[in-house]
Amino acid sequence: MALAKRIIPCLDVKDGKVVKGVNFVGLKDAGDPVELAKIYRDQGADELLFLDISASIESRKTRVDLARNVAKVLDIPFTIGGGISSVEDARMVLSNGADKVSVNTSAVENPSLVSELADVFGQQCVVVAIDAKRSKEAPCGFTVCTFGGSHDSLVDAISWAKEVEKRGAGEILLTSIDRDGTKKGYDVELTSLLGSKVSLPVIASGGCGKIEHFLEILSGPHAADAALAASVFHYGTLTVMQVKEYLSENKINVRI
Amino acid sequence: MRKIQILDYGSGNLFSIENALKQSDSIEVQVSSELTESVDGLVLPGVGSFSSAQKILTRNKDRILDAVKSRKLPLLGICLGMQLLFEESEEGTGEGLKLFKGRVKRFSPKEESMKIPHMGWNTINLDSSDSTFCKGLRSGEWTYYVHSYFPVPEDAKVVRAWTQYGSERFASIVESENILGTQFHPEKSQATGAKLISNFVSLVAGN
Repeated sequence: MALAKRIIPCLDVKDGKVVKGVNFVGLKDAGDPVELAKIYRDQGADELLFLDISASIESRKTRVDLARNVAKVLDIPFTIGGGISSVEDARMVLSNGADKVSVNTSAVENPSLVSELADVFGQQCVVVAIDAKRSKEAPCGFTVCTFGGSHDSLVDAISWAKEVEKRGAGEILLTSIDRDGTKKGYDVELTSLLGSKVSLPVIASGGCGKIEHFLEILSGPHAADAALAASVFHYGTLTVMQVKEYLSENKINVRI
Repeated sequence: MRKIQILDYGSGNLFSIENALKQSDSIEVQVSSELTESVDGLVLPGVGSFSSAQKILTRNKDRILDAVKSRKLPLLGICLGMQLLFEESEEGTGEGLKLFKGRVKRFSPKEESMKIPHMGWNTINLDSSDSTFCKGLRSGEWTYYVHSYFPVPEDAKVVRAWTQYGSERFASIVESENILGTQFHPEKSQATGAKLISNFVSLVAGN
């Protein structure tokens, strides 16, 4: 066998509760993070991503509680992202059980954060989340958005990906702002473009609405190494195991 | 009660390995950056950067080597911790513990699809049926990896399992008496990892 393609459910967490936004607005309660973590582990999830979208000053404490409570029950890796803007923020969640941290806006505003995190915690801990959308302004055709997709930084997505690779990122979580919440499928053009330009593993995110979308993004040249999804799992449209069995039938190497 | 110490390099997630070891009622777990004389087992964890780990390791090197060689202290190295059991690494200039002969080298991708780091789930292929550490394991079981470097043991007899990544086949489990290593993270590898950790705990507990 070889390295398996990964399926990663994403849980957006606000004030300790899991929520899922459509295009990052219009939040709807969908459960307890620890209970959902257990369900997804039992369904065969390869990893989990918790994205903390709370903005309160209490968020550091709730992130630590989240890391600790999830790590107690989970024997698969998990990442915490959202609100991590310093080495200290990262240390708080990593020392409480998270395996990786994901940084986005804070890294765009302060690129040396990526190098600092890699130096202190090792490359394996550092996921850089890139929210990209189509733009005529950028040479590659995509710019990087920050603040949950609401702000266009005007930074070229490919040059940013190359820079974070150089600075020691271990992985790129690539979200298509154009596709997020649409259920029209992952952005194959964006993902394969970025995949052809960096040698880091790429997790594709945004737009998954049906089982065929997983196959589409995980096959072909410069395919994603992992696919992230939220709503299809949270609302029970698909289980992780259904997705993996379908991929396996279609000759994609997955962990079953 | 027998004690296992996790050597703390000062960075990263030690909670998960601590939690995994604590699943056994027969041992106590302590975390410290200094090797305590009275411990019955030692874990070199797989988190943190190479330089931070090496600093702590250098400080403890003589004590670790003495305990491992003279009183056969069971030692488990995970990921980076396994690489530190070897002589030297392409990742840094310092020396490892030299408990195993061989160097640690970086993946050099020969095909474009081979991403670095090697990140995710891959299978093990067991090379020996006569292993205390791998008792209960079977070839084809899934284990979780995150690494860009891997050790190349000079003595193939210490290799208990191999893993294939792209064009590279590397040693994913090593064992020589009381010295054990896994390139993957057993604490993140569900049932397969739990078996290995339980086998290590049995070795420490002396049964």
